[in-house]
Amino acid sequence: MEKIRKTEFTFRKNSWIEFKKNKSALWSMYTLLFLVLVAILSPFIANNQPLYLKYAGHKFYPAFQTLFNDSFSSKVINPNTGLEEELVFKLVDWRKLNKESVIWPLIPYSPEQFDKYNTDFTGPSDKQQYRSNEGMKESPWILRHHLGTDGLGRDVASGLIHGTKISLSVGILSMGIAGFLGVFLGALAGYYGDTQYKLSRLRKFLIYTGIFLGFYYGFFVRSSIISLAFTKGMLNGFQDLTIGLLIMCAFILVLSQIGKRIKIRGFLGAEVPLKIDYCVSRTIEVLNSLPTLLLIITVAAIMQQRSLVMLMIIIGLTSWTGIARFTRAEFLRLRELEFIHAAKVLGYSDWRIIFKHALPNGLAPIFVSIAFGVASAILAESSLSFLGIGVPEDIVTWGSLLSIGKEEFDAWWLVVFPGFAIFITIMIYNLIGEGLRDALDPKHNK
Amino acid sequence: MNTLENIFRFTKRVTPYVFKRLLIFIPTLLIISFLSFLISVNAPGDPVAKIVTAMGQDGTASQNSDANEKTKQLVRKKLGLNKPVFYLSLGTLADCDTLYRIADKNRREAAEKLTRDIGDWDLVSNLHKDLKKPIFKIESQYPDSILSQKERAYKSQLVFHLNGLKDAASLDGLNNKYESVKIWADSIGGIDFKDLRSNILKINEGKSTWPKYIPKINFYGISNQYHIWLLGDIGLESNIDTIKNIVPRNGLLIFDEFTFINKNNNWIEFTSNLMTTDTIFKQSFESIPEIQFYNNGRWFEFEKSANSYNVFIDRGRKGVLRGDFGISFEDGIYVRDKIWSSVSVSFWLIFFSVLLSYIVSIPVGILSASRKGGRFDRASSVVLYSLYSLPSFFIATILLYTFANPDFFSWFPESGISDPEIFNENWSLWKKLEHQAPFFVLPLIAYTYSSFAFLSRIMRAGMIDVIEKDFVRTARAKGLTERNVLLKHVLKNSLIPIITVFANIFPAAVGGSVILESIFAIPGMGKLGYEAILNLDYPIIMAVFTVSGALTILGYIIADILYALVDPRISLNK
Repeated sequence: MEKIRKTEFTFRKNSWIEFKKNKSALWSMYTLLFLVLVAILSPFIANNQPLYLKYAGHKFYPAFQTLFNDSFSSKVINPNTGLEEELVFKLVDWRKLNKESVIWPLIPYSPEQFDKYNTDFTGPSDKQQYRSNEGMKESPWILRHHLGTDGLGRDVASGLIHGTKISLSVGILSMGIAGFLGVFLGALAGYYGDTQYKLSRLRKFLIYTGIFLGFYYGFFVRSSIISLAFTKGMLNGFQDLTIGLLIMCAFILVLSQIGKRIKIRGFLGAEVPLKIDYCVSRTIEVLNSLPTLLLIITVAAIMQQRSLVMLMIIIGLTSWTGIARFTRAEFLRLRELEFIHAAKVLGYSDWRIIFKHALPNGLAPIFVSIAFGVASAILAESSLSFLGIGVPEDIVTWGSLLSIGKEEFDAWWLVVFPGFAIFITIMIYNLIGEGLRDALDPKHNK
Repeated sequence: MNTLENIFRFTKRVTPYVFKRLLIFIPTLLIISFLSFLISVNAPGDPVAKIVTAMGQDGTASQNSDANEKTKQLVRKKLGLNKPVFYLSLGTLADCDTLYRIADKNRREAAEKLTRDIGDWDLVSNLHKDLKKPIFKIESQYPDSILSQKERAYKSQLVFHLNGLKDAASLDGLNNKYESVKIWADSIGGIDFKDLRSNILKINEGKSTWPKYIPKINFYGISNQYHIWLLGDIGLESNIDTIKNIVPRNGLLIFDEFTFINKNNNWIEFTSNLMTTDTIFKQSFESIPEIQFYNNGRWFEFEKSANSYNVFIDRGRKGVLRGDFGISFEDGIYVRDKIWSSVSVSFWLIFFSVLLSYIVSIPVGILSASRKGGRFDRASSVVLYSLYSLPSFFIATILLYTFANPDFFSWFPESGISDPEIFNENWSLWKKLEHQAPFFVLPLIAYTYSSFAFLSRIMRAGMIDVIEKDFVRTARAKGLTERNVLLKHVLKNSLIPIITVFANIFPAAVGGSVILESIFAIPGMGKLGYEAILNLDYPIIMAVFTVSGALTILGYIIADILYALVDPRISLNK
């Protein structure tokens, strides 16, 4: 018994073995992990705040202390004057301080910081200066901008490292939304089709009424509240948006349950199918027929406030169609299989059959399309920041660096490095997607 | 005879399917058009305000003035935006159903919010109407002549704040604004606005929250923006009556309406109640055979008859369904003409790039599949994968850096599709081609490389899939040459996947053209749409979405037909 369990052969295990055989996919996976690490550690790799500093007998960790609190400050006694002074960490020029010991991050510049001595597109091999106590000097290795600066003197290397965070989170969040929507709608469309989900006319009517009333009380009446909340801050806005969504769901649920309880005969009581598949398929068709990038640009232009989270949501809301199509196809296949029939005979609820029985068996192609989808989401974000739409102007992203480089023909470092970063990220996601597809495809094992 | 029969069979098989697809195509297109309409109309910013600003009639001082309001109203009328948006609208019981008549978009939205907050449109309406009285009272009691410099500044502040009452979006905001009005009124000598005070009091007393919780649907009939956009003048009376006013009366041409006369694309503006004598009018337009003007979102032609100017031809609106996309807000040119020229540029670029990538990728796919795992296969798969992952704007920028850079290789022109200084419309086709070819080299490379990589990979996968089939083994066993096996047996069967992606390449190319066209400054559809979004040019945005949607669906249908052509087993009429 024990032995059998050890050599137990599962789909998951086998897939992982297959995936590991694919060297390029495996290395992409490692590169991705490295990028994730860079993204998480970016404030400690590239920052104009030192990691550690000893000044006037106090130990400080400015890079950590300013991480969540921009206005972090501390009172110290100046060793030169003997007076008490307040250090506002973000404003202090740490270099000028007479500190006892200091550990700088690898790149001692923040992405938004202007280095006024190296403005106007200083190249990686150009002469770079810094201001020391004895006047202007050639920068030592540690202070050099190894990948150059842009016209305002912002460090490109620092921008790249902080851009990793943005690119990866765009990929993950937008595909999270797209994956949820795509799987949910695709599963419903594939499982129920046009004829399987039947309900009485009264209930159908009540559900439609619920959608209308829910929209009315959740969003229409509250539209001024929601837009006011968005002007206060993104978080407030989303909070109010979620409340609206909850109100809408509550209306639909309550009216639907009422419709379920009321049993009547005649015209209103007759069972009619809900054409779920038709609605989902038409929506997919319409969304696919619109040029995606133009659609995203338009919606991003509608949003008055530029925000990264909003951009991620927009990309997610426009790119779920591929996943939904795959899920739908998978469910069309699965619903004819014996184990689903068996589950139905056993009297399990539809909800349980869809999400506990069918979905785990249909996840493979969905994962693959999500991996490819992340690549295209990152591409969409960098395209938008390249065009200068949607992303706030003060945030440095790979695409925005590239767009600066496009204007300045001599600053090749502003094109090559960010372009290469985008290329590598898209490439590894594509390779992972490819590796997943090969590993999860049972035909491939032969 | 055989081929003819085949064609006949094929047509018989495919035609019902195409008809069915076209039938589905119509509602989809309607939804697309409605969506694009909805998106444009809800876009922030106000095209009217933008145009008024561009006309130079909008300053910070005149922001709230009556004249500005009137100009906005007239521009709205000119663009055809003075009508309700749709056949019906959702509102609350508190709302006013004729709110769309307020010209200023911000003010309209503010009034709507205030109405919902108060719960009664009449109160708000009274407030807005009575605002003229205090301003009149100030003017009569304190004319500029009796005021000192300082007091004049106070007075203008007071008027500004009085007008600002119209922008209040909530009851609290209104009360705050009223307080500041009172402060400024005290500074000028304690002027008392009786009507205003009673109105504010009435609003504070009459406030009720319940009406906004009761939904109300307003119906506007067919005289709305969407109807005119989609179906044109069907069922509507012609708006000719606004034109009658320009008929000469006693030798005078009286412009009651705000009309724009297009004289060789130079705008001549006649503001309201401008009078010009017939002779002056004659002199100004003597040399021009045709005078057009633009009102209600449509062009009017003004034709000279023997000795009068009273023949007006309303060119009418045909609506999108009959191929009329309206008139661009920006320059008054027919959207149809703008779209047509840009679609043709984009279409040919995309067409040639797709053609090119098919021509290159099929041999590459065949070669790498025929020696699977060989040196060529491995090398090409690395290269193709890298190409496929390279963002097109990166490649385009690199190409411009290398081959259109005066400091490096200046082989190709930097942007555009022709040199306007040398280009001549009357050149022969060959000469035009010779002149324009260098402009298209870099864009074509940038357009082509990624779809080429994509297609090669699909071709390879398709070939490998078929090579493992039994009938290929049979063919080999028969002793056919490898060349014959690959080109005659495998190739035809492996074409299916590469054809089906044709439907996906086309929309991707339309979307991708947004970036490439703005990098290379190609006047195509992507650039047109992108700029229209930035310029709030609604008719263009809607047209770009509708046309590209239609093209995409057409791409799907063509792909399906090709699919059926290659594989006779495929039944299209499920």
